[in-house]
Amino acid sequence: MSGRSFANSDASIAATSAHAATAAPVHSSSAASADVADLRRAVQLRDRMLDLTSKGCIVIDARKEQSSVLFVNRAFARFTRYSPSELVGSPVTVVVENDLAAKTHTVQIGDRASVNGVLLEMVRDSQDRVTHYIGVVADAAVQMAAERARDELQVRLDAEMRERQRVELELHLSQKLEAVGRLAAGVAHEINTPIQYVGDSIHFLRSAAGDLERTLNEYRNGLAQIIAGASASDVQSALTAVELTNDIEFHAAEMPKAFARTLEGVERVAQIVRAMKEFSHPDVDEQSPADINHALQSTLIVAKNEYKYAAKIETDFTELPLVVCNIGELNQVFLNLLVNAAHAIADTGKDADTGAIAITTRLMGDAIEITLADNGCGIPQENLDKIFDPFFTTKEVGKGTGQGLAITRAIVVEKHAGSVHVDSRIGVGTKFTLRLPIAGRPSVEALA
Amino acid sequence: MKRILFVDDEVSALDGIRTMLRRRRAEWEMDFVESADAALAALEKHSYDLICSDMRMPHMDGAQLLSIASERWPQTVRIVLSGYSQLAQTMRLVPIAHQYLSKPCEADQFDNVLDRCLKVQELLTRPTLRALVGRVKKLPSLPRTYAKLREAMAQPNVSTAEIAKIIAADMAISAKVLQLVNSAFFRLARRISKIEQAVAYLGFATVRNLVLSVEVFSQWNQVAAVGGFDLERMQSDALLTGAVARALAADTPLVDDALVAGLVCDIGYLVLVAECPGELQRARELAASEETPLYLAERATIGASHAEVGAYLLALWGFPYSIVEAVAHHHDPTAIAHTEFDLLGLLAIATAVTADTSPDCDPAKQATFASVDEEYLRAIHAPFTWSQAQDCARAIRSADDAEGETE
Repeated sequence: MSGRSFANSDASIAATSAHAATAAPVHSSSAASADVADLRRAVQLRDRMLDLTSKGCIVIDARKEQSSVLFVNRAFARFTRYSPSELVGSPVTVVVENDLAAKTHTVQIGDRASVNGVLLEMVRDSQDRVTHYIGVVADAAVQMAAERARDELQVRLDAEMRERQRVELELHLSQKLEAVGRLAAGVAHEINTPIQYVGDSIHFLRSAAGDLERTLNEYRNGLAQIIAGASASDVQSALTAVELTNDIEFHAAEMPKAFARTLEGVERVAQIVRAMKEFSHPDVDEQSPADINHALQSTLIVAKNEYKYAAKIETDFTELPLVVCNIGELNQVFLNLLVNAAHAIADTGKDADTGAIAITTRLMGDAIEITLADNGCGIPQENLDKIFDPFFTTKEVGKGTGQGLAITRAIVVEKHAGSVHVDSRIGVGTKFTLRLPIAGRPSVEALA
Repeated sequence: MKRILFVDDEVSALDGIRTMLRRRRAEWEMDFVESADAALAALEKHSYDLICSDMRMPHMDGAQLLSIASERWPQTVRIVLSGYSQLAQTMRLVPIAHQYLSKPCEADQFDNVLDRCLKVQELLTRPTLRALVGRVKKLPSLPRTYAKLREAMAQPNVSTAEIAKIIAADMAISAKVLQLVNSAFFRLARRISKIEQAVAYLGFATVRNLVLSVEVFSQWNQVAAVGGFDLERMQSDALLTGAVARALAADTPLVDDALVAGLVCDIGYLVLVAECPGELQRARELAASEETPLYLAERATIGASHAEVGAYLLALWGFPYSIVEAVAHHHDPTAIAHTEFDLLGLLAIATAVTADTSPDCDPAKQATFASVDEEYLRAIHAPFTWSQAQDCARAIRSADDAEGETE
């Protein structure tokens, strides 16, 4: 609980108010008993009047070290479960409420009750010492209504916050799905092509093996004939014809290539499948050490179909220590940046010969820096500060959700305590610079 | 010797095809190029019977290449072999390619498709058929609304509302389409009263095909009934065949093409009735007296049967070669080597079983379908037996009859 306690002044002053039942006589003069009676009557009338008002009234005696209740009316007592007489004499602490604008205080009466929203006024003696507080508090019904309204607002705010978190999570997921869906089509194509020629080549190898077998048999026959006494030149010309029929020359030239092609194709598929497996690293909240260069390579393999007709890739990776991160999320970041770069280049009409995407990694003290630069269309100055906003997109409807960079920022800045920086010039290109702390996001304990 | 050009930006892909198709070297002369530019240069130099191209290539892609080829070398069969499976649906609607193949395509299937496309090409360029269509002053043009639909559906993200708008622009067509949609063939649970509902309910392809049949038969009306041809009967037979083919193809990838193939399989009569009614009449008499199938009698008297003329017309309209081939051979499917349940087999079975279950089945028609029997179904691995196909056709027929009585 923040706020400062009102120190109690131990200076004594003449009481200006006292409860009829308990207060000491105001005047000690015995000569003025009629006056005293009148005064008592007046005090009683005043107290009854105060009991009739709907506002809670309290007088706190601050002359002793421990302040105490000198007087409360019925309305004030209604904030507690006690009667006015039970409250009088109880120790009191006054606390400034957090809400400074309201200029109200919380009056804590022993361990019995706590009343919020009390408007307090200090009463001072001739030496300017605070002797008493006079407090007024709004009617209990009004106060409770206000509190209820505040509670309701709080509940609504909580619900809104939960909804916001849910929507954010959903957007995050949908962007991930969008990326994965786009990738799946591209990866299918990247796999279909080698599968096609591996299949074709194996078909060829099978039929070639048949031709070779037939030829071998003919050679065995020929050998048998020669042993049996046939003319070698006759057998030779017969075998030449056999070789021609069975396409031996072609097979001799093509079979080794077909084997090489088959192995290369299978390796290509395996590489894509491995990269895909690494790319789609299961989502876990925990951060663990990962090889950023390797992750970038995997992303380049799975996303090849996204950029291969738009740009060539130039990588300049320096050896990096393992970075504590959520590599699945960072892969999504790399993919977003890569796809954006490819689109930006495609928009300029460049192709694989003229388009270029340069990716570098650097060690910068206790952080690493990744840059991804394209020679695409560039981002107009007026859009530069909007590109990280959710739903901001200049792509046509259906081509993007406008979430890519917003999520990139969320992942790098919020989840990894890193930074994203963008430089762009129209017609020249765009460069994104990411920085990630090697030690990962500071833990909650470390922050405290 | 046929000459084929293969285009792919992956050398390995070309090498794979080159070695795999080496076995065809006695029949096919094959050239391999690595870009669309090189392909155009090759097309300038030699006349090719067939060009088979990849889709995504740098500089100029397959679609651009094939559309140039379709204008400059229309006689050359165009085949797409692409790894983009999601493009397949869209591509099939655009008459850029005659056939669309997805990578990976099994080697024997690939070989078979090339062979069959070349055979269809051969049939379409057969002198007797060419002479016959050469006589025709003006061949029926591709129905207008159908053409518009085909174009619209080739666009990505086209909406149901846009498709419905194109159909609704022609009141007569939309009324007829709604009538068909609500007919017993489709056995829909509720009555469809708006074109937009029909499009949403049956899907783009089905509605497009219905529009085609409606338009084709409305053209036919103008031809007028000549030579004792029962136009209405033919139209209801076509619908029935389409519905039976669609039902038999349920749960197979053939389902979309099944309906359209059934609807258009006798489209050749559209030309024959108008152009040579006398010869057609003689063919019918010949078929009756000699007890030979009608399509053979047509070949004897006219030079080509309604099946071949229909195939020619569909090829001209830019239909995929699988449909063209099925229509060309729906009476003699065994003329084409095929061992799988494909569109040709399906259409042959659907027409045979529809005729077989007809209450007034005439023997001449029976003879027409002699080659389609239990054994044929087994040979092509049909997913049903002959008696199941008969039951299916009877069920659709009786549902149609019941409908006719209640209306």
